[in-house]
Amino acid sequence: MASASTRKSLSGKSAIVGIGETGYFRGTDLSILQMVLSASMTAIKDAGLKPSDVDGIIPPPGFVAWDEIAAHLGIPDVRYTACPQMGGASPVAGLLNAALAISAGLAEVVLVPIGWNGYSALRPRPGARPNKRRFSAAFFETVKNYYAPYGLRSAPWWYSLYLQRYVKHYNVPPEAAGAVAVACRKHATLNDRAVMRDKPLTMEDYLASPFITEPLRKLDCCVETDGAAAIVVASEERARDLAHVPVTFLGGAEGHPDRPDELINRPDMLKLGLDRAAPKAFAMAGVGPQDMDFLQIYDCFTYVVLLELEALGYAERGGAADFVKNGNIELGGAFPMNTHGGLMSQAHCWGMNHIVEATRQLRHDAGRAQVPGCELGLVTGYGDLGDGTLAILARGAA
Amino acid sequence: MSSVSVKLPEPDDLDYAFYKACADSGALTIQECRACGQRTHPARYYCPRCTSDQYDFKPVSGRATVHSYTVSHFSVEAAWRDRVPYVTLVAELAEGPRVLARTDTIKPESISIGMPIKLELQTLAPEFSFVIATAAETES
Repeated sequence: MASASTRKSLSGKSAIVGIGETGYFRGTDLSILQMVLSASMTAIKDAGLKPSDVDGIIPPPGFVAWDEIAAHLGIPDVRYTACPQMGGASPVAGLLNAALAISAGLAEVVLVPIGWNGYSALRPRPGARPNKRRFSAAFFETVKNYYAPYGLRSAPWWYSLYLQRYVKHYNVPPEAAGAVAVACRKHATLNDRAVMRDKPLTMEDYLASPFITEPLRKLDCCVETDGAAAIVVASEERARDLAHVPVTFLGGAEGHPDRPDELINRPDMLKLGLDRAAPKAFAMAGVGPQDMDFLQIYDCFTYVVLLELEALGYAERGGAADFVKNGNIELGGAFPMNTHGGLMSQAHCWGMNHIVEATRQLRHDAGRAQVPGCELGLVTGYGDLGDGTLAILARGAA
Repeated sequence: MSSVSVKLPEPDDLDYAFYKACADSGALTIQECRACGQRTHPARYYCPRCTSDQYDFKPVSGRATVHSYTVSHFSVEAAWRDRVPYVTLVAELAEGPRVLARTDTIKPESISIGMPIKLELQTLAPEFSFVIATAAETES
Protein backbone atom coordinates (compact mmCIF):
# COMPACT_ATOMS: atom_id res chain seq x y z
CA MET A 1 0.00 0.00 0.00
CA ALA A 2 1.17 3.51 -0.74
CA SER A 3 1.54 5.60 2.35
CA ALA A 4 -0.75 8.59 2.77
CA SER A 5 2.19 10.91 2.25
CA THR A 6 3.17 9.23 -1.04
CA ARG A 7 -0.36 9.59 -2.34
CA LYS A 8 -0.59 13.18 -1.26
CA SER A 9 2.75 14.12 -2.77
CA LEU A 10 2.54 12.37 -6.16
CA SER A 11 -1.06 11.78 -7.18
CA GLY A 12 -2.65 14.51 -9.24
CA LYS A 13 0.38 16.79 -9.16
CA SER A 14 1.41 16.47 -12.79
CA ALA A 15 -0.08 15.79 -16.21
CA ILE A 16 0.88 14.72 -19.70
CA VAL A 17 0.57 17.90 -21.75
CA GLY A 18 2.33 17.02 -24.99
CA ILE A 19 2.70 13.96 -27.22
CA GLY A 20 4.76 13.32 -30.32
CA GLU A 21 5.49 10.44 -32.66
CA THR A 22 7.49 10.03 -35.81
CA GLY A 23 5.90 7.79 -38.36
CA TYR A 24 6.55 4.12 -37.70
CA PHE A 25 8.57 2.47 -40.44
CA ARG A 26 9.99 -0.82 -41.58
CA GLY A 27 13.16 0.65 -42.94
CA THR A 28 14.45 4.21 -42.62
CA ASP A 29 17.65 6.13 -43.18
CA LEU A 30 16.97 8.39 -40.22
CA SER A 31 19.32 7.96 -37.26
CA ILE A 32 17.90 7.12 -33.86
CA LEU A 33 18.96 10.56 -32.62
CA GLN A 34 17.11 12.27 -35.48
CA MET A 35 13.94 10.32 -34.75
CA VAL A 36 14.11 10.96 -30.99
CA LEU A 37 14.65 14.68 -31.57
CA SER A 38 11.79 14.83 -34.08
CA ALA A 39 9.30 13.15 -31.73
CA SER A 40 10.51 15.35 -28.88
CA MET A 41 10.04 18.57 -30.83
CA THR A 42 6.58 17.43 -31.91
CA ALA A 43 5.62 16.73 -28.29
CA ILE A 44 6.94 20.10 -27.06
CA LYS A 45 5.03 21.98 -29.77
CA ASP A 46 1.92 19.85 -29.19
CA ALA A 47 1.91 21.13 -25.62
CA GLY A 48 2.14 24.71 -26.83
CA LEU A 49 5.63 25.01 -25.34
CA LYS A 50 9.13 25.83 -26.56
CA PRO A 51 12.31 23.81 -25.92
CA SER A 52 13.42 26.50 -23.49
CA ASP A 53 10.40 25.70 -21.31
CA VAL A 54 11.70 22.18 -20.70
CA ASP A 55 13.79 21.78 -17.55
CA GLY A 56 13.91 18.01 -17.15
CA ILE A 57 14.91 15.21 -19.54
CA ILE A 58 14.44 11.48 -19.00
CA PRO A 59 16.24 9.84 -21.94
CA PRO A 60 15.75 6.31 -23.29
CA PRO A 61 17.58 3.41 -21.60
CA GLY A 62 19.90 3.17 -24.60
CA PHE A 63 21.05 4.68 -27.88
CA VAL A 64 20.55 8.38 -27.05
CA ALA A 65 21.63 10.43 -24.02
CA TRP A 66 20.08 13.41 -22.24
CA ASP A 67 22.94 15.81 -22.90
CA GLU A 68 22.78 15.56 -26.68
CA ILE A 69 18.99 15.89 -26.57
CA ALA A 70 19.41 19.12 -24.60
CA ALA A 71 22.07 20.41 -26.95
CA HIS A 72 20.29 19.58 -30.22
CA LEU A 73 16.89 20.87 -29.13
CA GLY A 74 18.32 23.97 -27.50
CA ILE A 75 17.16 23.29 -23.94
CA PRO A 76 19.40 25.75 -22.08
CA ASP A 77 18.79 24.97 -18.42
CA VAL A 78 18.31 21.29 -17.51
CA ARG A 79 17.56 20.92 -13.81
CA TYR A 80 16.73 17.22 -13.65
CA THR A 81 17.72 14.03 -15.45
CA ALA A 82 17.33 10.35 -14.62
CA CYS A 83 17.45 7.25 -16.79
CA PRO A 84 15.44 4.16 -15.85
CA GLN A 85 17.22 1.06 -17.19
CA MET A 86 14.44 -1.43 -17.68
CA GLY A 87 13.82 -1.92 -21.38
CA GLY A 88 10.15 -1.72 -22.27
CA ALA A 89 9.20 -0.77 -18.72
CA SER A 90 11.25 2.41 -19.11
CA PRO A 91 8.70 4.78 -20.73
CA VAL A 92 6.17 4.34 -17.91
CA ALA A 93 9.06 4.51 -15.43
CA GLY A 94 10.05 7.76 -17.13
CA LEU A 95 6.53 9.11 -16.66
CA LEU A 96 6.63 8.04 -13.01
CA ASN A 97 10.02 9.68 -12.59
CA ALA A 98 8.76 12.88 -14.20
CA ALA A 99 5.78 12.93 -11.80
CA LEU A 100 8.18 12.41 -8.90
CA ALA A 101 10.56 15.19 -9.96
CA ILE A 102 7.70 17.63 -10.60
CA SER A 103 5.90 16.89 -7.34
CA ALA A 104 9.18 17.38 -5.47
CA GLY A 105 9.79 20.71 -7.14
CA LEU A 106 12.94 19.58 -8.95
CA ALA A 107 11.47 20.30 -12.38
CA GLU A 108 8.36 21.79 -13.91
CA VAL A 109 8.32 20.54 -17.52
CA VAL A 110 9.90 17.14 -18.22
CA LEU A 111 10.54 15.61 -21.65
CA VAL A 112 10.43 11.79 -21.87
CA PRO A 113 11.40 10.48 -25.33
CA ILE A 114 12.32 7.05 -26.68
CA GLY A 115 13.12 5.61 -30.08
CA TRP A 116 15.15 3.09 -31.99
CA ASN A 117 15.66 1.42 -35.33
CA GLY A 118 14.25 -1.93 -34.27
CA TYR A 119 13.67 -2.96 -37.87
CA SER A 120 16.69 -1.54 -39.65
CA ALA A 121 19.22 -2.54 -36.99
CA LEU A 122 18.49 -6.18 -37.76
CA ARG A 123 18.42 -5.65 -41.51
CA PRO A 124 21.06 -3.03 -42.28
CA ARG A 125 21.01 -1.61 -45.77
CA PRO A 126 24.20 -1.96 -47.78
CA GLY A 127 26.61 0.70 -46.65
CA ALA A 128 24.51 1.66 -43.61
CA ARG A 129 26.52 2.72 -40.59
CA PRO A 130 25.67 0.51 -37.63
CA ASN A 131 24.49 2.07 -34.40
CA LYS A 132 27.18 1.30 -31.86
CA ARG A 133 25.49 2.46 -28.68
CA ARG A 134 23.64 -0.09 -26.65
CA PHE A 135 22.39 -0.69 -23.11
CA SER A 136 23.97 -1.22 -19.72
CA ALA A 137 21.48 -3.55 -18.00
CA ALA A 138 23.25 -6.59 -16.53
CA PHE A 139 20.78 -9.10 -17.92
CA PHE A 140 22.58 -8.89 -21.25
CA GLU A 141 25.50 -10.56 -19.47
CA THR A 142 23.19 -13.35 -18.32
CA VAL A 143 21.96 -13.83 -21.86
CA LYS A 144 25.47 -13.85 -23.29
CA ASN A 145 26.86 -16.25 -20.72
CA TYR A 146 23.97 -18.62 -20.06
CA TYR A 147 21.18 -18.43 -22.65
CA ALA A 148 22.80 -17.61 -26.01
CA PRO A 149 25.08 -20.69 -26.01
CA TYR A 150 21.91 -22.82 -25.99
CA GLY A 151 20.49 -21.17 -29.08
CA LEU A 152 18.37 -18.70 -27.10
CA ARG A 153 19.59 -15.43 -28.55
CA SER A 154 16.68 -13.03 -28.27
CA ALA A 155 13.48 -12.28 -26.40
CA PRO A 156 11.09 -14.95 -27.78
CA TRP A 157 13.53 -17.67 -26.80
CA TRP A 158 14.23 -16.29 -23.31
CA TYR A 159 10.60 -15.63 -22.45
CA SER A 160 9.46 -19.00 -23.77
CA LEU A 161 11.31 -20.52 -20.82
CA TYR A 162 8.71 -19.18 -18.41
CA LEU A 163 5.76 -18.84 -20.76
CA GLN A 164 5.78 -22.57 -21.51
CA ARG A 165 5.52 -23.27 -17.79
CA TYR A 166 2.57 -20.86 -17.65
CA VAL A 167 0.86 -22.66 -20.53
CA LYS A 168 1.54 -26.18 -19.30
CA HIS A 169 0.89 -25.62 -15.60
CA TYR A 170 -2.37 -23.70 -16.09
CA ASN A 171 -3.53 -25.32 -19.36
CA VAL A 172 -3.73 -21.93 -21.05
CA PRO A 173 -5.34 -22.44 -24.48
CA PRO A 174 -3.73 -20.88 -27.56
CA GLU A 175 -7.05 -19.13 -28.24
CA ALA A 176 -6.37 -16.91 -25.21
CA ALA A 177 -3.16 -15.62 -26.75
CA GLY A 178 -4.94 -15.48 -30.10
CA ALA A 179 -7.62 -13.20 -28.64
CA VAL A 180 -4.89 -10.71 -27.75
CA ALA A 181 -3.37 -10.85 -31.23
CA VAL A 182 -6.76 -10.50 -32.91
CA ALA A 183 -7.85 -7.57 -30.71
CA CYS A 184 -4.62 -5.66 -31.34
CA ARG A 185 -4.88 -6.22 -35.08
CA LYS A 186 -8.54 -5.23 -35.17
CA HIS A 187 -7.65 -1.95 -33.48
CA ALA A 188 -4.67 -1.40 -35.78
CA THR A 189 -7.01 -1.50 -38.78
CA LEU A 190 -8.64 1.66 -37.34
CA ASN A 191 -5.29 3.45 -36.98
CA ASP A 192 -3.58 5.12 -39.93
CA ARG A 193 -0.33 5.18 -37.90
CA ALA A 194 -0.28 1.38 -37.49
CA VAL A 195 2.09 -0.63 -39.68
CA MET A 196 -0.42 -3.53 -39.84
CA ARG A 197 -3.42 -1.31 -40.65
CA ASP A 198 -4.14 -3.08 -43.94
CA LYS A 199 -3.73 -6.65 -42.70
CA PRO A 200 -6.79 -8.03 -40.91
CA LEU A 201 -6.25 -11.11 -38.76
CA THR A 202 -8.64 -13.88 -37.74
CA MET A 203 -8.36 -16.50 -35.02
CA GLU A 204 -7.97 -19.09 -37.78
CA ASP A 205 -4.98 -17.15 -39.14
CA TYR A 206 -3.52 -17.04 -35.65
CA LEU A 207 -3.91 -20.75 -34.98
CA ALA A 208 -2.27 -21.54 -38.34
CA SER A 209 0.75 -19.44 -37.47
CA PRO A 210 3.95 -21.51 -37.13
CA PHE A 211 5.77 -21.90 -33.85
CA ILE A 212 8.96 -19.90 -33.34
CA THR A 213 9.73 -21.40 -29.96
CA GLU A 214 6.93 -22.98 -27.95
CA PRO A 215 4.53 -21.68 -26.82
CA LEU A 216 5.23 -18.66 -29.04
CA ARG A 217 3.94 -18.65 -32.57
CA LYS A 218 5.06 -16.06 -35.06
CA LEU A 219 1.80 -14.17 -34.48
CA ASP A 220 2.42 -14.10 -30.71
CA CYS A 221 5.36 -11.78 -31.36
CA CYS A 222 5.12 -8.03 -31.83
CA VAL A 223 6.22 -6.23 -34.96
CA GLU A 224 9.70 -4.79 -35.45
CA THR A 225 9.74 -1.16 -36.50
CA ASP A 226 11.79 2.02 -36.62
CA GLY A 227 10.48 5.15 -34.97
CA ALA A 228 10.34 7.36 -31.91
CA ALA A 229 7.76 8.80 -29.56
CA ALA A 230 7.83 11.31 -26.73
CA ILE A 231 5.69 12.86 -24.03
CA VAL A 232 5.97 16.12 -22.12
CA VAL A 233 4.89 16.07 -18.48
CA ALA A 234 4.21 19.30 -16.61
CA SER A 235 3.12 20.40 -13.17
CA GLU A 236 -0.64 20.63 -12.67
CA GLU A 237 -0.37 24.42 -12.38
CA ARG A 238 1.50 24.70 -15.67
CA ALA A 239 -0.79 22.16 -17.34
CA ARG A 240 -3.89 24.30 -16.80
CA ASP A 241 -2.96 26.90 -19.41
CA LEU A 242 -1.53 24.71 -22.15
CA ALA A 243 -2.86 23.56 -25.50
CA HIS A 244 -4.86 20.46 -24.52
CA VAL A 245 -6.97 19.13 -21.70
CA PRO A 246 -4.42 17.78 -19.19
CA VAL A 247 -4.06 14.02 -18.79
CA THR A 248 -3.39 13.78 -15.10
CA PHE A 249 -1.06 11.31 -13.44
CA LEU A 250 -3.14 9.69 -10.69
CA GLY A 251 -0.85 6.88 -9.62
CA GLY A 252 2.04 4.71 -10.64
CA ALA A 253 4.64 2.26 -9.46
CA GLU A 254 7.51 0.11 -10.64
CA GLY A 255 8.26 -3.43 -9.55
CA HIS A 256 10.80 -6.09 -10.35
CA PRO A 257 11.11 -9.84 -10.08
CA ASP A 258 13.19 -11.40 -7.33
CA ARG A 259 16.63 -11.79 -9.07
CA PRO A 260 15.92 -9.31 -11.86
CA ASP A 261 19.08 -10.04 -13.88
CA GLU A 262 18.10 -13.60 -14.84
CA LEU A 263 14.97 -15.63 -15.45
CA ILE A 264 15.16 -19.21 -14.39
CA ASN A 265 16.22 -19.15 -10.73
CA ARG A 266 13.39 -16.99 -9.48
CA PRO A 267 11.40 -18.74 -6.76
CA ASP A 268 8.28 -18.18 -8.92
CA MET A 269 9.20 -17.73 -12.59
CA LEU A 270 5.74 -16.34 -13.35
CA LYS A 271 5.79 -13.52 -10.81
CA LEU A 272 6.43 -10.36 -12.79
CA GLY A 273 7.45 -6.94 -11.58
CA LEU A 274 3.90 -5.85 -12.36
CA ASP A 275 2.54 -8.21 -9.68
CA ARG A 276 4.35 -6.03 -7.17
CA ALA A 277 3.70 -2.66 -8.82
CA ALA A 278 -0.04 -2.97 -9.48
CA PRO A 279 -1.44 -2.84 -5.92
CA LYS A 280 0.79 0.13 -5.09
CA ALA A 281 -0.21 2.07 -8.19
CA PHE A 282 -3.95 1.50 -7.68
CA ALA A 283 -3.63 2.49 -4.01
CA MET A 284 -1.82 5.69 -4.94
CA ALA A 285 -4.48 6.53 -7.52
CA GLY A 286 -7.36 5.69 -5.18
CA VAL A 287 -9.10 3.65 -7.89
CA GLY A 288 -9.30 -0.02 -8.81
CA PRO A 289 -8.93 -2.16 -11.92
CA GLN A 290 -12.68 -2.25 -12.49
CA ASP A 291 -12.76 1.56 -12.77
CA MET A 292 -10.66 1.64 -15.95
CA ASP A 293 -12.26 2.68 -19.23
CA PHE A 294 -9.39 1.24 -21.31
CA LEU A 295 -6.14 -0.68 -20.90
CA GLN A 296 -2.91 -0.06 -22.80
CA ILE A 297 -0.90 -3.20 -21.99
CA TYR A 298 2.74 -3.70 -22.97
CA ASP A 299 2.43 -6.44 -25.56
CA CYS A 300 5.82 -7.65 -26.68
CA PHE A 301 4.26 -11.13 -26.69
CA THR A 302 0.62 -12.18 -26.34
CA TYR A 303 1.20 -14.53 -23.41
CA VAL A 304 3.00 -11.78 -21.50
CA VAL A 305 -0.19 -9.72 -21.85
CA LEU A 306 -2.18 -12.54 -20.22
CA LEU A 307 0.20 -12.58 -17.26
CA GLU A 308 0.02 -8.80 -16.98
CA LEU A 309 -3.79 -8.86 -16.95
CA GLU A 310 -3.59 -11.35 -14.08
CA ALA A 311 -1.04 -9.20 -12.26
CA LEU A 312 -3.39 -6.22 -12.61
CA GLY A 313 -6.18 -8.17 -10.95
CA TYR A 314 -8.45 -8.87 -13.93
CA ALA A 315 -8.15 -12.62 -13.38
CA GLU A 316 -6.60 -15.13 -11.03
CA ARG A 317 -3.22 -16.57 -12.00
CA GLY A 318 -3.81 -18.78 -15.02
CA GLY A 319 -7.31 -17.41 -15.59
CA ALA A 320 -6.84 -14.60 -18.13
CA ALA A 321 -8.24 -16.78 -20.91
CA ASP A 322 -11.77 -16.08 -19.64
CA PHE A 323 -11.11 -12.35 -19.39
CA VAL A 324 -9.93 -11.91 -22.98
CA LYS A 325 -12.66 -13.94 -24.71
CA ASN A 326 -15.90 -12.80 -26.36
CA GLY A 327 -14.50 -9.42 -27.37
CA ASN A 328 -14.08 -8.21 -23.78
CA ILE A 329 -10.76 -6.52 -24.67
CA GLU A 330 -11.93 -5.16 -28.02
CA LEU A 331 -13.49 -1.77 -28.67
CA GLY A 332 -17.10 -2.10 -27.60
CA GLY A 333 -16.13 -4.60 -24.89
CA ALA A 334 -15.85 -3.91 -21.17
CA PHE A 335 -12.08 -3.26 -21.22
CA PRO A 336 -10.87 -2.20 -24.67
CA MET A 337 -7.15 -2.92 -24.81
CA ASN A 338 -4.39 -1.50 -26.99
CA THR A 339 -6.77 0.67 -28.94
CA HIS A 340 -3.91 1.78 -31.23
CA GLY A 341 -2.91 -1.76 -32.14
CA GLY A 342 -0.14 -2.07 -29.57
CA LEU A 343 3.34 -3.38 -30.14
CA MET A 344 1.67 -6.34 -31.77
CA SER A 345 0.17 -4.40 -34.66
CA GLN A 346 0.89 -0.66 -34.46
CA ALA A 347 4.64 -0.47 -33.81
CA HIS A 348 7.31 -1.48 -31.35
CA CYS A 349 8.14 1.87 -29.81
CA TRP A 350 8.91 0.45 -26.37
CA GLY A 351 5.38 1.19 -25.19
CA MET A 352 5.78 4.94 -25.42
CA ASN A 353 3.17 4.56 -28.14
CA HIS A 354 0.89 3.14 -25.42
CA ILE A 355 1.29 6.30 -23.32
CA VAL A 356 0.69 8.43 -26.41
CA GLU A 357 -2.49 6.47 -27.17
CA ALA A 358 -3.72 6.70 -23.58
CA THR A 359 -3.26 10.46 -23.82
CA ARG A 360 -5.15 10.65 -27.13
CA GLN A 361 -7.99 8.59 -25.62
CA LEU A 362 -8.28 10.82 -22.55
CA ARG A 363 -8.18 13.94 -24.73
CA HIS A 364 -11.04 12.33 -26.68
CA ASP A 365 -8.89 12.62 -29.77
CA ALA A 366 -8.45 8.93 -30.67
CA GLY A 367 -10.35 8.99 -33.95
CA ARG A 368 -12.13 5.82 -35.01
CA ALA A 369 -10.71 3.98 -31.98
CA GLN A 370 -12.12 6.44 -29.44
CA VAL A 371 -13.56 4.87 -26.29
CA PRO A 372 -16.67 7.03 -25.89
CA GLY A 373 -16.53 9.37 -22.93
CA CYS A 374 -13.50 7.73 -21.30
CA GLU A 375 -12.25 9.31 -18.08
CA LEU A 376 -9.73 6.81 -16.65
CA GLY A 377 -7.22 4.43 -18.16
CA LEU A 378 -4.02 2.59 -17.42
CA VAL A 379 -0.73 1.95 -19.19
CA THR A 380 1.70 -0.83 -18.33
CA GLY A 381 5.34 -1.35 -19.17
CA TYR A 382 7.22 -4.64 -19.27
CA GLY A 383 10.92 -4.79 -19.84
CA ASP A 384 14.04 -6.88 -19.98
CA LEU A 385 13.46 -10.01 -17.88
CA GLY A 386 10.18 -9.00 -16.24
CA ASP A 387 10.53 -5.44 -14.96
CA GLY A 388 7.06 -3.95 -14.57
CA THR A 389 5.59 -0.48 -14.47
CA LEU A 390 2.07 0.88 -14.28
CA ALA A 391 0.59 4.36 -14.61
CA ILE A 392 -3.04 5.32 -14.03
CA LEU A 393 -4.17 8.40 -15.92
CA ALA A 394 -7.28 10.57 -15.79
CA ARG A 395 -8.89 13.10 -18.09
CA GLY A 396 -8.67 16.68 -16.87
CA ALA A 397 -7.18 18.35 -13.83
CA ALA A 398 -7.27 16.37 -10.60
CA MET B 1 27.64 -30.43 -32.96
CA SER B 2 30.30 -28.07 -34.19
CA SER B 3 31.67 -25.49 -31.81
CA VAL B 4 32.42 -23.14 -34.66
CA SER B 5 29.13 -21.32 -34.83
CA VAL B 6 27.69 -21.78 -31.32
CA LYS B 7 27.74 -18.47 -29.49
CA LEU B 8 30.19 -19.20 -26.69
CA PRO B 9 29.99 -17.34 -23.36
CA GLU B 10 32.33 -14.42 -22.70
CA PRO B 11 32.16 -14.46 -18.92
CA ASP B 12 33.67 -12.09 -16.37
CA ASP B 13 33.75 -12.22 -12.58
CA LEU B 14 31.76 -15.04 -10.98
CA ASP B 15 30.44 -16.22 -14.32
CA TYR B 16 34.04 -16.86 -15.33
CA ALA B 17 34.68 -18.63 -12.02
CA PHE B 18 31.69 -20.91 -12.65
CA TYR B 19 32.82 -21.94 -16.13
CA LYS B 20 36.41 -22.40 -14.99
CA ALA B 21 35.29 -24.60 -12.09
CA CYS B 22 33.24 -26.73 -14.48
CA ALA B 23 36.17 -27.04 -16.89
CA ASP B 24 38.65 -27.88 -14.13
CA SER B 25 36.47 -30.55 -12.50
CA GLY B 26 34.89 -31.92 -15.66
CA ALA B 27 31.54 -31.87 -13.86
CA LEU B 28 28.67 -29.44 -13.40
CA THR B 29 29.78 -27.41 -10.41
CA ILE B 30 27.55 -24.97 -8.56
CA GLN B 31 28.43 -22.35 -5.98
CA GLU B 32 27.99 -23.55 -2.38
CA CYS B 33 27.95 -21.22 0.61
CA ARG B 34 30.57 -22.18 3.20
CA ALA B 35 28.45 -20.80 6.00
CA CYS B 36 25.01 -22.27 5.34
CA GLY B 37 25.46 -24.69 2.44
CA GLN B 38 23.03 -22.86 0.15
CA ARG B 39 23.59 -23.61 -3.53
CA THR B 40 23.24 -20.62 -5.86
CA HIS B 41 23.24 -20.23 -9.62
CA PRO B 42 24.27 -18.03 -11.28
CA ALA B 43 26.86 -17.46 -8.56
CA ARG B 44 26.51 -14.40 -6.32
CA TYR B 45 29.05 -12.53 -4.22
CA TYR B 46 26.75 -12.68 -1.20
CA CYS B 47 24.73 -15.73 -0.27
CA PRO B 48 21.04 -14.90 -0.91
CA ARG B 49 20.13 -16.92 2.17
CA CYS B 50 22.66 -15.86 4.84
CA THR B 51 24.71 -13.02 3.23
CA SER B 52 28.03 -14.81 3.70
CA ASP B 53 30.71 -13.96 1.13
CA GLN B 54 32.56 -17.27 1.57
CA TYR B 55 31.88 -19.94 -1.02
CA ASP B 56 33.26 -22.82 -3.08
CA PHE B 57 32.26 -24.31 -6.40
CA LYS B 58 31.34 -27.96 -5.88
CA PRO B 59 30.05 -30.66 -8.24
CA VAL B 60 26.38 -31.57 -8.06
CA SER B 61 24.73 -34.98 -8.36
CA GLY B 62 23.24 -34.43 -11.81
CA ARG B 63 19.81 -35.46 -10.55
CA ALA B 64 17.16 -32.98 -11.66
CA THR B 65 13.57 -32.48 -12.75
CA VAL B 66 12.09 -30.50 -15.64
CA HIS B 67 10.84 -27.16 -14.32
CA SER B 68 10.03 -25.73 -17.75
CA TYR B 69 11.19 -26.04 -21.34
CA THR B 70 10.83 -24.74 -24.83
CA VAL B 71 10.90 -26.41 -28.20
CA SER B 72 12.43 -24.13 -30.80
CA HIS B 73 11.23 -24.53 -34.37
CA PHE B 74 13.10 -21.60 -35.87
CA SER B 75 16.53 -20.04 -35.54
CA VAL B 76 18.50 -17.41 -37.38
CA GLU B 77 21.74 -19.06 -36.23
CA ALA B 78 23.60 -21.48 -38.43
CA ALA B 79 24.49 -23.63 -35.43
CA TRP B 80 20.84 -24.24 -34.60
CA ARG B 81 18.99 -23.85 -37.89
CA ASP B 82 19.70 -27.39 -38.96
CA ARG B 83 18.75 -28.83 -35.57
CA VAL B 84 15.16 -27.62 -35.34
CA PRO B 85 13.09 -28.57 -33.53
CA TYR B 86 15.54 -28.41 -30.63
CA VAL B 87 14.65 -28.73 -26.96
CA THR B 88 15.95 -26.50 -24.17
CA LEU B 89 15.07 -27.52 -20.63
CA VAL B 90 14.98 -25.53 -17.41
CA ALA B 91 16.36 -28.24 -15.14
CA GLU B 92 15.86 -27.96 -11.40
CA LEU B 93 18.77 -29.65 -9.66
CA ALA B 94 18.20 -31.89 -6.66
CA GLU B 95 20.46 -29.39 -4.88
CA GLY B 96 18.00 -26.56 -5.62
CA PRO B 97 19.27 -24.24 -8.34
CA ARG B 98 18.03 -24.37 -11.93
CA VAL B 99 20.24 -24.55 -15.01
CA LEU B 100 19.58 -24.71 -18.72
CA ALA B 101 20.16 -28.03 -20.43
CA ARG B 102 19.78 -29.32 -23.95
CA THR B 103 18.97 -32.83 -24.99
CA ASP B 104 19.46 -35.10 -27.97
CA THR B 105 17.45 -37.99 -26.57
CA ILE B 106 14.29 -36.63 -24.94
CA LYS B 107 11.61 -36.11 -27.57
CA PRO B 108 9.43 -32.99 -27.32
CA GLU B 109 6.21 -34.98 -27.05
CA SER B 110 7.53 -36.98 -24.09
CA ILE B 111 8.39 -33.97 -21.92
CA SER B 112 6.29 -33.10 -18.91
CA ILE B 113 6.80 -30.58 -16.13
CA GLY B 114 8.31 -32.37 -13.15
CA MET B 115 9.74 -35.34 -15.06
CA PRO B 116 13.03 -36.66 -13.63
CA ILE B 117 16.17 -36.19 -15.72
CA LYS B 118 19.89 -36.79 -15.42
CA LEU B 119 22.41 -34.08 -16.29
CA GLU B 120 25.95 -34.45 -17.59
CA LEU B 121 28.45 -32.16 -19.26
CA GLN B 122 29.45 -32.39 -22.91
CA THR B 123 32.58 -30.45 -23.72
CA LEU B 124 32.22 -28.15 -26.71
CA ALA B 125 35.23 -25.89 -26.22
CA PRO B 126 37.95 -25.63 -23.59
CA GLU B 127 36.00 -23.00 -21.73
CA PHE B 128 32.46 -24.22 -22.35
CA SER B 129 30.52 -27.44 -21.93
CA PHE B 130 26.84 -27.99 -22.62
CA VAL B 131 24.68 -29.41 -19.87
CA ILE B 132 23.04 -32.41 -21.51
CA ALA B 133 19.85 -34.00 -20.18
CA THR B 134 18.72 -37.59 -20.53
CA ALA B 135 15.60 -39.19 -19.12
CA ALA B 136 16.31 -40.52 -15.62
CA GLU B 137 15.93 -44.19 -14.80
CA THR B 138 12.38 -44.77 -13.64
CA GLU B 139 12.17 -44.47 -9.89
CA SER B 140 9.38 -46.18 -8.02
